[in-house]
Amino acid sequence: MPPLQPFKFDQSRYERPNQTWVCGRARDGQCCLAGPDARGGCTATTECHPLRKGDRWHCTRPAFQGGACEPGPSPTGECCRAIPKCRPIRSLRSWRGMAVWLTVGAALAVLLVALGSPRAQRWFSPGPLAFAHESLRQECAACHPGLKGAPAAWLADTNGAHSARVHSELCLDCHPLGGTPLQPHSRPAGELARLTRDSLARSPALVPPARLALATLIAGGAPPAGEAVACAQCHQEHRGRKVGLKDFSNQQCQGCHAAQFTSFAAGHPEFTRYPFQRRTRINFNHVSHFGEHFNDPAKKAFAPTTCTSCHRTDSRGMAMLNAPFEAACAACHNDQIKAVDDKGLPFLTLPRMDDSLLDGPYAIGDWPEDGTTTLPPFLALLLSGDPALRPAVDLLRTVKDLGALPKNDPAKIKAAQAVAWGIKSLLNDVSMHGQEELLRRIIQAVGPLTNHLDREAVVAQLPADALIMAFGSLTNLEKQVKDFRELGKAAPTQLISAPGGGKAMPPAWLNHGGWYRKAGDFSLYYHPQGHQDRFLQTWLRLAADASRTANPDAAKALFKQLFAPKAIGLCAKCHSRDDQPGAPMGMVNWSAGRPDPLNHPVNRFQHSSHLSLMDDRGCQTCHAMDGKTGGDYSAAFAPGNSDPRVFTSNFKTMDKAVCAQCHRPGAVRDDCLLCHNYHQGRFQTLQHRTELVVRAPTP
Amino acid sequence: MTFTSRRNLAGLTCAAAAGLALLADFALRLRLRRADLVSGGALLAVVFLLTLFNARKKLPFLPLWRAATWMQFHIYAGLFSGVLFGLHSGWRWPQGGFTSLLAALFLAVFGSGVAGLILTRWLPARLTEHGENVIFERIPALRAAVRREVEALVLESIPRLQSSTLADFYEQKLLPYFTQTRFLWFQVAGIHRPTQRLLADAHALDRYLNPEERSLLARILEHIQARENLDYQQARQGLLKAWLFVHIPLTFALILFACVHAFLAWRLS
Repeated sequence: MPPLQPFKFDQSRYERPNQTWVCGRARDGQCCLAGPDARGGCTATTECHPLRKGDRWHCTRPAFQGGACEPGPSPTGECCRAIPKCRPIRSLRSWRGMAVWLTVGAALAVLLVALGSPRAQRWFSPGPLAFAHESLRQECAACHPGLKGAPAAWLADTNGAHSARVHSELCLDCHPLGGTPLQPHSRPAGELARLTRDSLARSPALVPPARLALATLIAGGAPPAGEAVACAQCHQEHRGRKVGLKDFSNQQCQGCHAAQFTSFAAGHPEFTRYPFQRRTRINFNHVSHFGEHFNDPAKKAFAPTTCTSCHRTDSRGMAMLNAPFEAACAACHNDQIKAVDDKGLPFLTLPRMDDSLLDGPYAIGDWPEDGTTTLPPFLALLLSGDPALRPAVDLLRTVKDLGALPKNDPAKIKAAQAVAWGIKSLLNDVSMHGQEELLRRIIQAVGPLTNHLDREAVVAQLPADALIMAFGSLTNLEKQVKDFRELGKAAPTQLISAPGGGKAMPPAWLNHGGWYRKAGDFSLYYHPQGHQDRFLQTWLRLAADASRTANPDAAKALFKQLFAPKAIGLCAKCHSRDDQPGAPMGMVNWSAGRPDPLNHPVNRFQHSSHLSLMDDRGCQTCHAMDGKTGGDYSAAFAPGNSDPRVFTSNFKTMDKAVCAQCHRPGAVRDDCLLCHNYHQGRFQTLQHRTELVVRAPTP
Repeated sequence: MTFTSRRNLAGLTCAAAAGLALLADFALRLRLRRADLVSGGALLAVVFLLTLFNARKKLPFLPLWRAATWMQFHIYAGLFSGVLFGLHSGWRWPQGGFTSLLAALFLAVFGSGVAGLILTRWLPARLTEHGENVIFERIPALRAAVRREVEALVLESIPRLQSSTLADFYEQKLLPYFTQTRFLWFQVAGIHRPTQRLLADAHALDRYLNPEERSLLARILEHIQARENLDYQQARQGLLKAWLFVHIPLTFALILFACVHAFLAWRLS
């Protein structure tokens, strides 16, 4: 069979598949030469347009359509073969174009329907929220304030509603992260810079692993200091409810760090001073106790047999807590605190006065012939509550012996007279009006006491009889004070003896503490009731916060008296004192360290997960006692040292290799977030403000 | 530069670009940067560049490289866009309604493009091997011509041979075969059974024919072969054109949806 499709200029017509319309008769192979017009109309007329040569008309039908026809054109030059009209059809190319428009139209329709739908936000959401955020119920505007209202409003950016800063601030509404929440590690930029310097000084930066070096080369290093980090930079949402928001790789964490390494086992800096970042709050010297005190046959029975005798995990299994004093320390130390000899804390004590100068115009009336040489701290602080007396108290605090005032210093003589009458007024008023007057004087001296427990503790249920017993020998006290106050008349100075004779109070009276007096002086003493004596604790706290008292110097002097190493109660023997901003004398640590649930430190460790893994060495697998540190440990608690970071631990720094035995690639987790918190600091938990309404009683 | 070296160079360039994209995405994710924004922006740019091929074909007068060069660029950039899409989606199926539709559109466009690439590389050789190559638009006319020729042969034989055997065969078997186009689908599927059955019937008829009729039947069989070739050509050339009915319309829908997606991502990121 010959070829179906000849290709010669006179045997083949030219195809135009790009045109929109095709002749309706093309399917039958009878397509005319004219073809359809651009609008799909048939333009066919006749098979040819005759050509006139001389006086004759010639048929011009092309050869591939049969060549010149037999009848030929009419004498007037018209083709005799008319073409029947056809209905042009669309070309394949045209159908494709229509398909494009139809598809675009359908896509637009889908978009418009979706935008107008009440479920538009859900439909346009890139994915479900993580499980932790399911309570938001997929409400876009909860995190994207710019998506409030109709879709048209989404386009408007009001006050940066679409900015990462606004989004992050919305996160912080539910996740408070301190004062600099969007800074790396929630720490101020300056602090981060200092930590980086310190870290590099301890362990210089290593050559970073190849992939981290490559990432730095391509994507740059850490962001500039001080640049805020949006929450979404790390916590990427809309990835499904099962995807964790804290799933980061170690390399991602290290991206910003100056020291980069391969893994915890390979490259992580060795521990320095870990786990102890500060001295213990309670001065308990493990070395001296286990190397010395517990060898004493009298105390051997009280020695703990295991670490858990004194230490237990907290409810979360994280920190190891100390046993209370009663369980761990009282057996040996309770009697020391009670101090059953006749030591006591002089609360109201009259000093002796120089009667040779304090007479005549400087007379002070009845006054003990003997007493303390200086103004006692308690008395100095209480008198300072009166603004008129404060200069006199300050002047006399430098005098070494009030019983021998300088003769040529009338100011001090006058001050001594004022202080003497102030003391007498204090005793008179307290004896007449009782504890309320004493409390009023104390509040004048130390400032408001809003806590009722403090108000009770500072007066310690002082009984009237104790006051009368101590100062009852000043029989003319009321009259002399009244004359001095109302008439300005000072009774002549007269020295009187102390009451009560020389017999000391039996120790049995002191076993349980309280107020008492000694024979032979004008003093009222306080004896601590035992451990955790509220009188001592409260006065130490008030005196430490000297800046809020009427006379800070007097308060400091009182603190030094109460917190002296051998002071009554022996508080300073075990309780350390830390510097504290705003409190000149610092803060006494009344209890051992306890985990603060609001605090998020750099490191975290789950003790309970490791307790079942230890060998015969037990806790000493990690906490090996350093037997050489006994002296250095105690030195850190010397009276002058209030900086808790200056210390020597009884235990050796932990060895990273111990941890790396298990925490290594292919074994137990060794990611950064296992042991480190990213957000560091003390953050308040979210509080809901629920308004309570007091309703009027129903009639 | 030979065709092979050109193809190798283009392939290497495409592979290098994909490697760089993978590396950049890895680095950005490691640095907790918005890698999805970068890969998404690059993907949108590549999609626009791919679309320019269509525009280029509509503007043949512009001196912007040959269409063949554009075609090569279109192929390799299209393959590269698949890598970018994988990086952008994290090699996971998206979970949102709109993003799922967008991903489905992209994959449909990408898949139809790959299918078209395979078809345009595989079918032309088969078409050449199978028989006479004809212009796609002419096939209906040629098919009609073949039918008319067979019809003319049969009609002409009736008075001359004084026999209706061939005429009956034409009426019962040949006429439905030549007038119907449903056999096209058999060709698309590569099934030749209708033609083979017709040929078997013709051979079965052979014993009842005299030599002159046999000669005529032989000529008719040639026409059956020609018709079968026309069906084959139309089916396979139709495939070469049909994939564009998926690829091009969905590309425009993809661009529309991608622009909305990009706008929302830019606004909310």
